Amino acid sequence: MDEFNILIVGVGGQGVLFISEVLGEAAIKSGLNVRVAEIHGMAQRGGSVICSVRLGKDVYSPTIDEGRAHLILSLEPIEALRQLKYANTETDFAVNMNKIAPPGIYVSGKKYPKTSLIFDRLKAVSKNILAIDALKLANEAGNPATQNTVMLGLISASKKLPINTQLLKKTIVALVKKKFQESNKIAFDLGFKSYEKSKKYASSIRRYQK
Amino acid sequence: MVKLEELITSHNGKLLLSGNEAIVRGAIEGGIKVAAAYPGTPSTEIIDTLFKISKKVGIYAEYSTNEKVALELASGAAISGARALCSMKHVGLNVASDAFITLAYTGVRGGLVIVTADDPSCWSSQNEQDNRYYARLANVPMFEPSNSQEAKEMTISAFELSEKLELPILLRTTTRISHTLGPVSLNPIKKISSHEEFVRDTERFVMVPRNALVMHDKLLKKMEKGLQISEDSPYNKIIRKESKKIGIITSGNPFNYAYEANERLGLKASILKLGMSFPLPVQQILDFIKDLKKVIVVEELEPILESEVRSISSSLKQRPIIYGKLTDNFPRNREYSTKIVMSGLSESLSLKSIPENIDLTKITSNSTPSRPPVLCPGCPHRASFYILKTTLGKRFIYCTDIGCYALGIQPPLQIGDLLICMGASLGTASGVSQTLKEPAVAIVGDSTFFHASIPALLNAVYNKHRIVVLVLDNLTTAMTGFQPHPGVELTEYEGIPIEEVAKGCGVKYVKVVDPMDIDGAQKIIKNAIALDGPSVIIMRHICSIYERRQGVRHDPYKISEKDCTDCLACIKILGCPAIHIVEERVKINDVLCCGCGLCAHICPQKAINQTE
Repeated sequence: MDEFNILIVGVGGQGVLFISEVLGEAAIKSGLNVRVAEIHGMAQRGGSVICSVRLGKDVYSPTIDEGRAHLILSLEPIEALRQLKYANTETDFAVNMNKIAPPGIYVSGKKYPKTSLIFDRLKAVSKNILAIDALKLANEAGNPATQNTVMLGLISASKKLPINTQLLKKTIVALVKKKFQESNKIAFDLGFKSYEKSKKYASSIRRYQK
Repeated sequence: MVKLEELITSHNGKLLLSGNEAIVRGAIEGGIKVAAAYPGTPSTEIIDTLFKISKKVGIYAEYSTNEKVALELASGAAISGARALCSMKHVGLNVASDAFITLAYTGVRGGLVIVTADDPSCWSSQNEQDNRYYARLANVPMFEPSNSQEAKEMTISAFELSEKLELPILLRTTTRISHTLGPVSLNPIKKISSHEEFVRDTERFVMVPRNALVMHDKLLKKMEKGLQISEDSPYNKIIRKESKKIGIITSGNPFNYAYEANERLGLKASILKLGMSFPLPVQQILDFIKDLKKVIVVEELEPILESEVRSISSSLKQRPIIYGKLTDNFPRNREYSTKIVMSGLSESLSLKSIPENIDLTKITSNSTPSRPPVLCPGCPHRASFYILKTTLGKRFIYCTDIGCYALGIQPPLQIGDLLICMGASLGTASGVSQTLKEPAVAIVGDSTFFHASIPALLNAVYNKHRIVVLVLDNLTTAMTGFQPHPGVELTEYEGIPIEEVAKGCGVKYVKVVDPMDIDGAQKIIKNAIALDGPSVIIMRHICSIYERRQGVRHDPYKISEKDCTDCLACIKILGCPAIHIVEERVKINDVLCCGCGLCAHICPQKAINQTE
């Protein structure tokens, strides 16, 4: 493996940092070299959050260059759009369809983009799109805060990640508090099992019509 | 947390650590005894971690009132023989600079490491100053790690070098070093013996002019020794590649981009990587560049290395061409990326342009709604800004300060006309008021009040400036992650009430009010603005996130579908992230809602009520 670049995006408070730290820890346990770049501080106050995980022997730079992400994991639909410049035609997308409207759009009287518009723009870049309602599955797991774990289960099922599924699951369990371990295990499995269904989601969305 | 335990007890193996955590591990392996800091992104996790583990590892750690006090405390400890570490964000060193620069004259006895965490691209700062200048200004050695592993090792080396030269050492990181996690190999934690004693030496430690002049001479001598150490330092090394013509000189995080860019462009240029970047190893640089035709200097922010390499190269008969910012090939602002460095290298060497993987024009679109950071749901500052807007409106100038409340400038509240640095709200408001011949408002947080506002408050009292000081007291240092400050009452710490400080400073009109008491607060502000001198109004209400972390929950509010007319007043006046529109109706997200009740207070239809 030359390098494998994962971009994780979402909204402050959704647990973007947790995903990147899980991937980083699991990578180290797999004997891989890794760089996990986080941003703390002001950006986290409900703003867009972007983290990157880079795996590979000769990985030095903390950040991913534009057009060079192998996988973009987005915890919110429009956050995936915001970072399209990091994608190329081969990039895999994993998108949580749970929409969080920026409070600013209501203040300015605008609307959240239509799902069909979001998918048109994603499809214009790449055909490999996994989409899933992670909030629904997280609720099924008994803990709405496990949306990020659902997404980890999903990307693990895609087989593209150079990290073993069982190891990934074990790492999550080791990193969460005892009382949340069970719900995280369930959330991971629910995400994992949704792989086939999530592949069909994008093609089921018709083109945007005004 | 498992990781914290491993960080302080493991003697071997590998851990995934951020640069900040790696510095903590280095400090432990290096026998640290005292740590002091004022929190500031991207440095905060250093003191947070040291504070948490202090009892377990047997060190003294404190959150000091500001960076200057922190450095003075660490200096006192180091001069008394203990190994000490003081960490701060880049602008923190401005605050501490008075102590820092003369401290280079006295030097230290126990090792003293000063971490400065710079923030290219202003991820969480008011400027992107380059603190490599501070090593030159004070004339003290500087280390610049390129990753977490080096951050750990250089912390240990910095303690050792500090004791060898009897000088404080700067360890400079940037956001991408502080907040990037990478593998770190651990070494055994050995007991490092130290001798703690204050040995009186007036000529060395009392900086009156006569002594200072002598100590300045000695500092220059120490740095001659420092230069020799830099020449031989294992941190200054050449990564040898085939090219006989092209070389790259770099340090810190830019090394990472330079390394990858060199590979991706297939330049095969050798790289001189400067880990001990001050004093510069002059001879090593000369040896590296003397047979080259082209030298490219890769550094973020200011052209410091580039200027110095240029000056060093002037002694050569056959000089290589030196490329960098002064030749307009690299930008002088914002953080770099591999792509930016590739483009700078290509331009310098007149290579053909780099092919893009994808046509960016196809996908760039401004139709994605922006998502800037905003005040959290239930944030008491929202209420304070609402109160200001409804009492004073746009009639007066609002001088604001560093903290979460700087987010008050976002729509719809839009409060904040002037913001410069920590504690500047009071001083700038005094100047505005004096000049416009009318009152001005200073908005300052609780932690920032203690940090740098008290001298400005005394000044306003003495000189009778007509400023209304609004202390937004949310009982914690919220922006950096809920650190305590002198006003916070904790089990082992007795809080110092801000109102007592204000009265002690001579302020006649001092009031404490809960911003959720809208009517009460409005009255107080109206009274204050009519006064001839300064007033202090403490808007006291706990930070909603901090309160939740302590396990306190309030019932969320709910909008009655029957009574709500979707007038959007709550959204357009307050902009709370917990209020959203679902299927054309205004709703409150009960997971996000903290139950502050501000929306219920302003709803024209009285359609919002607390659930039970």
